[in-house]
Amino acid sequence: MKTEIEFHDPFFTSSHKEEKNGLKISYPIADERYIKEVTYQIRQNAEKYFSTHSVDDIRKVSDEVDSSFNDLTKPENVELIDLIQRSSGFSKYDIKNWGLGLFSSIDSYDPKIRGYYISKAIKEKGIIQTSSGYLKRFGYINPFNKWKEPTLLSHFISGNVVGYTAILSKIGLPVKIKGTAQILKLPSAASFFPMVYLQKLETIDPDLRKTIVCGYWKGGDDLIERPLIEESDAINILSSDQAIKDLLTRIEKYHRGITVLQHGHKIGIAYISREFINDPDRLEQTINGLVTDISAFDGGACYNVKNIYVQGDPRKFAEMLFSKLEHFEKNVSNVSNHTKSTGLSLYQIYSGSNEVISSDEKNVFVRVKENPEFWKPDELFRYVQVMRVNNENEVYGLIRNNKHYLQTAIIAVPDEKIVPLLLLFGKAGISNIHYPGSAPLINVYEEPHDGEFDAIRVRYNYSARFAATNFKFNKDWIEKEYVLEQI
Amino acid sequence: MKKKMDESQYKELLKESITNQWDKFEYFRNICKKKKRSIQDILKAIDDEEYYQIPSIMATAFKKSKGLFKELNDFSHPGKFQVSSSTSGDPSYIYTNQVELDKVADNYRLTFGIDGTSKAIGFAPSIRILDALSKKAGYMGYKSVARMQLALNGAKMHYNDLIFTLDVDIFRTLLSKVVNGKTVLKKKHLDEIIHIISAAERDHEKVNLGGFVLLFMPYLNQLKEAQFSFGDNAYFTFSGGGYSGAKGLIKGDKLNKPEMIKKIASVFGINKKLFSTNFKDLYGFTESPAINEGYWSEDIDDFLFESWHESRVFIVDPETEEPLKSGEGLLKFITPYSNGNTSAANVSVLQLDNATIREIKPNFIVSRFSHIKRFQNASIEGCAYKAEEIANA
Repeated sequence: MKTEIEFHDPFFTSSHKEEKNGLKISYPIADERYIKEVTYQIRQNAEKYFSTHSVDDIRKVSDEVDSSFNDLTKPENVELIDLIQRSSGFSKYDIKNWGLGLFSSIDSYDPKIRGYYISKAIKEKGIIQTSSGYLKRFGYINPFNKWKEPTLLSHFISGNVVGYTAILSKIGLPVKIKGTAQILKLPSAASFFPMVYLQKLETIDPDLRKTIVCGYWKGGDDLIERPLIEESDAINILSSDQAIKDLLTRIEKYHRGITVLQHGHKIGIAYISREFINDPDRLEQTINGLVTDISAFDGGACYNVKNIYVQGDPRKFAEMLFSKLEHFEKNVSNVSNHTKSTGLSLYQIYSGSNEVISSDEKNVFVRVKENPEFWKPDELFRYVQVMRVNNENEVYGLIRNNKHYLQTAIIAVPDEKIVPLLLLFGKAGISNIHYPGSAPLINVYEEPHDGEFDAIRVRYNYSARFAATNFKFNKDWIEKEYVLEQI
Repeated sequence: MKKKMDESQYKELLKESITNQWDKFEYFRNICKKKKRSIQDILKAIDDEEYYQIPSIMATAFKKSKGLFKELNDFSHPGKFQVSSSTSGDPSYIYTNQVELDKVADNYRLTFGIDGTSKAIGFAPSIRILDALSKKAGYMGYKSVARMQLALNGAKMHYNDLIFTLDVDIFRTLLSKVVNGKTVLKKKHLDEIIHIISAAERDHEKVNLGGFVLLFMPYLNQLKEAQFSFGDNAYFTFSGGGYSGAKGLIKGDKLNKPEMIKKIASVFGINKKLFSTNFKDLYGFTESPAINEGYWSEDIDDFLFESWHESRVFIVDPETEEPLKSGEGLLKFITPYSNGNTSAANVSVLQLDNATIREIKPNFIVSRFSHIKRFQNASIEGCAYKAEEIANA
């Protein structure tokens, strides 16, 4: 069993060490004295690399990196899951299914049609049928906006999940013409896998790795972030609203007009129609799916379901959901140790309440409310609110004024309502409409992230938003055998 | 002068209050059930002076974001919501009947008031500002009153001559209302403050300077060493915390308490011997009427707090809530209502503040404590609420 791991960066050569669960990890840290010099260097490297390598060659390199994380039975990946678990505290189930699970859809996607549906959605106004669902643009394309390649793209990575945050560097790889130099700011939590991903890239193509610099610094450190903002043409921020606001203020001051992708605080919803409430088999499958959508990464991810709107008795639904959530926590995916204190604090507050279902285990909390609302949870945990609604239009009315927080909606509705809900919820601001049990599984080639196709958006301001479903019919998921076989 | 409440009075009032709370609030009954305590167990514990056995409600349960108002408050009597200053951006709302509101204000009168002193400078927003904030904070159709306003009302009861440093600039507000509807505030100029203090010094008049450290420090930092020589005529009574650098919307630098005390002493000419009588901090929170007085102690380099005479205070383990005999833990306050009639389930409250036990009596009753700090409850970090800590960690 490994006890010591040192991550290196070609440019940030200082490091800081941390110890978690008997694992000593050394991460590169940024040095404010060299930021300008480093940006100059990676720009030079990117210019050279991207002018001498074809888009296809680079795609092959990137695919090779991605495919190395696909087979989770390989001993190195089994060990990797263990190491990520020890370093991040998240359950192995989450890391395996939702973290590294992302790579199976990336790896299996036909290279010939990558980008096809996205381009189509940008060009066409109607509903596009993708290979796994539907995609729709909301808003108009500004004909005056032109494609422009950035020369330096900076990412502020969040530490709430494993998986998606590691592949942010793919945004800077060439889409049509050329790639860009990139800076990645590591978060203080869950930094392990982004570094592993870059390490893998380095073994496959060290020159491509040299177009990227990655390290940690304290967020808000203006000595580092000012030169970084001044040098960047585009900035991709995955963080809290407050951190985004702070960065935007400084971007406005130091480099007004650059492209900024803002991925802030999101609150997921679910809508379960009466057809799924009244059919015991479908209800069970729906709840089994919701259990994973709620529990993934202990409720700290942007896609986790928090508000559940049901066309039926909310208490009955909540009791069933609670029982399955608790069973799942106990037998499949335990709450991580570092979030246990949140459970304790919620328990201390809600154990007296008749509106919140909890138990002495302190790991799951389900709130019941007759009068529906768009609920903003006070804590991020395996903690949701179930509410009664009359229909999807009532849900629309509740969510449409909270566009800022919208991203993922889980729906369990009859087939004929899937497309109408894409239109209705998409209009409200939802961007990813998934079937129960698939909230974390974003298909990067067919679905926007938080309404945006980041890799396009940093190059081309299409001035619109997108929404997609990850299924066309209920048979796409309802007949699937659940991974919850332990339940 | 604080009226002493003897143990039998305390017991009777507590029994009445806790029985009333039991009858009114299912939330409290549920908490007791989880802790396997019946009302008979609780009343027996009171008889045996084992007050720590009374289960407590988390102070944070009263936060707006928790949505437990209906379960924790009884609106059947006339009253108002007491509202906290909301340093976290999430204020507490505690419905309080008029008798108890008067009691809280009186508690502040007793603790802010210095015998023989009728002049004070409140480094705080004026009552006019707090009136407006209180009106704005009305909730669920009920009127609200900022806890800070009760504090100032209490201070005003004692001091004939009470000046506030922060007020509404009426002329500029009138102009601004036309343009953007915003209120313009004005701070008292340093010269005005110096003038008031100098007049008191010249007249050998006792003066109490108090309020928020965060509003006091910017003035103090502009005063010179030995600028005044008050001897034992100057008192300093701070309240509302803010040592971390934030109190509600008021922001400032993190404060080093010993350095602050030294600086005050050097500017105002206060002898070290007077530190334990003339430098005072008040510790209270909206969820409880208790106001604990802490006097500066050179031995511990902090304010040494006396437990409020109408409360029984415990310091408990954050996880098990078991009372401790020594060390540090969370503060638990058990304070009966003055008329036994509860309007919120806050007779026994557990506050998310850590403190260190300094003096303890039998049955875990803490009589003195110090080193109060916010309990750090590590919670999940994500690209949602808490990603701030990630980005800025």
